[in-house]
Parts: sequence; C-alpha cells; structure tokens
Amino acid sequence: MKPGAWILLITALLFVAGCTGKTPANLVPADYSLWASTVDAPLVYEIPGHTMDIRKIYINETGTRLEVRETGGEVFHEYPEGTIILKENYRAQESDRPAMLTAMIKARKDPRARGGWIWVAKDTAAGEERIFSDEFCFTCHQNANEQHPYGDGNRNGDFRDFVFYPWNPPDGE
Amino acid sequence: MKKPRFVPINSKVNVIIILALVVGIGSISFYLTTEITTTIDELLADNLNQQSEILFAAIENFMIPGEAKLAVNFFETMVRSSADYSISLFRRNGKVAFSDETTIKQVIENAPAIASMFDTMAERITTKESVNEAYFQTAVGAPPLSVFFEEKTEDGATYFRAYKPLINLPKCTGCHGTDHTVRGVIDIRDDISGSRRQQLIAAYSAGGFFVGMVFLLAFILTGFMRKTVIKPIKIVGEVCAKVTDGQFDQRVTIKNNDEIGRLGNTVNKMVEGLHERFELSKYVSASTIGSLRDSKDGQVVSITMLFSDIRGFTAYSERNSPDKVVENLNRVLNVQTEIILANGGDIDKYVGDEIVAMFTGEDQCERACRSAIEIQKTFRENGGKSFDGLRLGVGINTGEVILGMIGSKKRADYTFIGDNVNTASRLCSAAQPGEILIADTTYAKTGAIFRVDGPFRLKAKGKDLYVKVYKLAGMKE
Repeated sequence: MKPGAWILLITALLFVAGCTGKTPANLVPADYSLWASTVDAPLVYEIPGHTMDIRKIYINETGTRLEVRETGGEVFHEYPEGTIILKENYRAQESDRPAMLTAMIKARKDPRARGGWIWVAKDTAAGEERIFSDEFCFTCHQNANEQHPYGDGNRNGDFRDFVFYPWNPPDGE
Repeated sequence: MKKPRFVPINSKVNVIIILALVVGIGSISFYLTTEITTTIDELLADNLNQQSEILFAAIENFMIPGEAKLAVNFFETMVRSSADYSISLFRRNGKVAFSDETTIKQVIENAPAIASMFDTMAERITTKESVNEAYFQTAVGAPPLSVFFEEKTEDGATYFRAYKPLINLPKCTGCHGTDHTVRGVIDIRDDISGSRRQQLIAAYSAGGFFVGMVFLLAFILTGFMRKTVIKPIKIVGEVCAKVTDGQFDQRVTIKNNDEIGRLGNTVNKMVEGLHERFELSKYVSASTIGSLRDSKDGQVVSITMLFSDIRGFTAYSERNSPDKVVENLNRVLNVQTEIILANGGDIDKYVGDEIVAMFTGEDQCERACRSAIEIQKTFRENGGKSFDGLRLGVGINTGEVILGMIGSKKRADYTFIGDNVNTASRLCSAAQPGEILIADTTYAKTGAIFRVDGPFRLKAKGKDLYVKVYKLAGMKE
C-alpha cells in the first residue's frame, strides 16, 4: 500500500474513532446501600416525576459534611463537591430490588451539571445510566429552595441546595 | 507491458488546479455556509428557549389560586401579538389551555377550599392551534424534554418552533394534583421564512462567488503554470527531440532565473557535450566506442582482418607536392573507408597510407572479401585515373586475436594484436598492385562464394613456415 493510502486510512480510522464518542461513565456507585439515609422511613406518597414509586434516599459520607451558613438573615445549605444523594425507586412495596436509581452528584464545574449537580438516572434492569442536562430534574428540585409540600416544607424558604430532604445528623452527633 | 496513455502535462496541471480549488474553496465555502446556517439556527433555538424560560417563570408566578384569568389574558395578548410570532399553551393532552373549564374543575376538585375564589371565566382562548404530534409526545414523555424543530406550512412559510414542557412542580401539586409530571406544553412559533430566504440567498451567493473564484483562479494559475513551467518544459523537450535527430546547433532559450532556467542551462551544456563527443566519434573506431560503453577487458576473439596499402606510395609522395599527396591519400582512404563501413566492417586505424580494418560477427569473411573486391574494382575504373594511378594491395586473414584497450592511461586504442594480425599484414605486403591475398582460414569460409587462384605458398617475413594463400579473383557466377 502506498504511503498516501496509509495516511488516508489512519485519518479515516481516527475520524471514525472520534465520532463513536465515549461510553457514559459509571456515576452511580454500587455500594450506596452502606451510606446514611436522609429520611427516617421510605417515602410512599405520590409526587410528579416519581409517581407512586416508593423511595429511599441515601447520602454518601462527603454529603454529610454539609455546610449551613447564614448570610444577611438568609440560610444557605451547601453540599461539598463529590456529594452524592441517591434515591432508590421501588415500583411496589414488596419489591426487593429498585426499578430505578436517581442520583444528584455535586460537580459544580461539570458542563453537564445544572445548579451545581449532575442529575442522573440508572435503569437497574438494563444497567444503563442517563444524565439529564435539561430542566426536568433540575426545575422540580428548584422548589426545594423555597417553600414546598415535602418533608419539613422548608417553611423559612432557605436555600437548600436543591435538596428536599436535607442531611440532618442523627441525634447525639 | 502496456505503455501508459500519453496525457499532456498541461491537462494534468489544469485538472489538479481545478480539483484543488474546488476541494479547497468548496469545502471552505460549504463549511462557512453550514456554520452560519447552524449558528443562526442555534441562535434561534437559544432565543426561543430563553423566551420559554421567561414564560415558564411568568406562568409559575401568575398561577395564583383563583387568578387563572391573568394567564388567559396573558396568552390572549401573546397569541395576537404578531402575525409571524405566536405563543400558545397546550394541556398535556394536546388541547389548547384555557379553552374550557376542565382545569378549573380539576383544581376545585383537588383543592375545594379555594373553590370560592374562582370566578366564571369571561374570556377563553379560542384559537385553533394544533400540535405536531410526534414532537409533542417527546415534550410530554417520560422524561419530558424541550423540543426545537422547523416546520413548513402549506402556504410555504417556514416556522421555527419550540415545545417546552411545563413541569408539574411540587408547589403546583396542591391545586393540580400529583398524578402527572407535565401540566402542559408552552409552544413558541416564530416565522423564519425571511431568515431562511436570506440564508438561501447567502448560500447561492456563496456558491456563485465560489464558482466565479474557481474559474478566475483556475485561469490565473493555469496561465501562470503554462508560462513558468509547461512552456519552458516544452521548449526543452523540442530541443532534446531535435538533438536526437542530430541537430546539435539547437539551444534552449529560457530566460527564467529559477529551477526551469537552470534545467535549460544544463540541457544546453549537455547538448554541447554531446556535440563534442559526436564530432570526436569520427576519429575513433566504432569498436573503441563500443568498448568504452561496455567497459570490456582484453579478450580472445575470432575476427577477419583486412589490411590495405598503397603500392609505391613513398615514391609517389616524393614526386608530388604535399597538398596533392594529402588530397589524394585522403580520397583513397575515404573511398576504402566507405566501402568497408558499408559492408559492416570497422576501421581500426590508419597507419600512413595503410588501412587496418576488422570484421566481426557472422559472415565476417564474406564481408571482408566483398569489401576488398569492391575496393580493387573502384581503383580499376577509368584505368586507375580517378586516383592518379595509385594502386592497392590487400591482405585478408581470419583467426583468433587478442582484442582490448591497448595503450597508456593518457592515450589508448581499442585494437587487436597477435600472430594472425601479423599474418594479415604480411599478406598485404606480399600482394601485388591490384591483388587481394587471402589466408586459407578465410578461404575455408568463402570458397563456395568467391573465385580464387591458388593455393600458393608464401614465405612471409618473420615466419619459418610457409603460409598457404589464395588470390581472390572475384565472385563466382
């Protein structure tokens, strides 16, 4: 084969390789069940986006180092970089395995992030992860930063960093 | 192997230039046009997205329990704002929002406490907007996604359209319920027919400019290449062709002071060198030239030698003026040389009035004898008057000799040596004026062709034994 043909072939292969894109990273850790939970019991009421799914919420160790500060009479929650808050979504009470895992991962500088979080859902049956960079998850969770109907309802309208059920250390900690 | 078809370099250069221009300028034009179009589309999408974000925020804020009328008025205003721009709100089932009291009834059902706050809606949205079903389903699907698309209507107008899902936020669930994720879809429709027309005009203009540029640049570059490269190369080629035909006075006349100009100068020097060598070849035997070309070392070969010598030339030269002697000698040598060369022989050397010639290859004996007969015949014509009465003696011998480049490093001849050479020389010396003596080795190969007298026994100088010789009389009938 002539040198020109080799160059053409290598260029074409590089081009094709460049077009194939990267496989999405495995963002949802497998050992999340060892983490602490932000709720005392599974959430069983219906909400938009999660419908009637039964939900258990976990937070990784990094997230437990949540900073709460007050500025100008307003309270701000700020989760550290690397925080993962993960929600197990069970289709039915008796299910022993969640149908879906939805997680918010603190990564302020990631271009896929909205509001400083990467919003990701994992289909446990297919094992596939999907990142939501549009408004769906983000818009709904914006309500966590004002009064809302869940948990303590955020009656003071604190900035809760998009988290409806903020991390509260267990009594004694 | 099949010889490749001749394709003029002019055609190749033209094709390469046009291809380079088409690919180069074409790809740039295509890239720029595509980029501009894509950027315009992205700007439109960004613009519509921003508008939808603002609308979304507005709807969020004026959806105060009991104040749906605000939203109705807002959308009434927006729908009528412009002929080529419209904003609509659809329910998640694709029906135009605020077109009936379905939502109010649901709100009252979900939140009976606020039922008294609702008034009968005096105005309702009555537009007949319809949705693009496929894109709409994407907007209200799971997950709900914003969609941007282009749409052409039957009247030829082009619209850029954005579907933005109106999420059923937690704070909305109190009135609207929790059993659905998407409350509706904001539809923003912008007439981009004018923009598309301008893009098309820009694309056609770029295309036209591109074609014009290709032709103009092709014309300029082709002319430049023709003048600086192709024409000079043609001149060089023509000179080379004429030199091949022996016209050594031809020279390349290129004034360019570049690589082509240098090529012309080099070709001119080469032609001068060839001319010199060609002239020199007249003074060197063909076998010497062949030897130089093949770089042959000394070797033993079987050849036929022809020696020819003018009888009584010493006395003749004493009787005549030097001019006449040289003139006649040259004529004698010239005539013999022509005959020998015509019969495929090669002049080895001229030794005074003597010619030493050699014949190689098949029928060498026959060609040597034929040359000798023609030479003597020529000298007999007109009673020998043509050559001022000069007569020749010719001796021919066939046998093995040593052939090689003999001489010093500065001056050498490609010639032959050996006893058979001496024998040929002795036969020439012994031949009477007008006679041709051939050795028996030559006779053995030509006896069937030529008439001979003899054999005779010849006691040659320096030889102890007699040599058997024949007198060559002519061709057999």
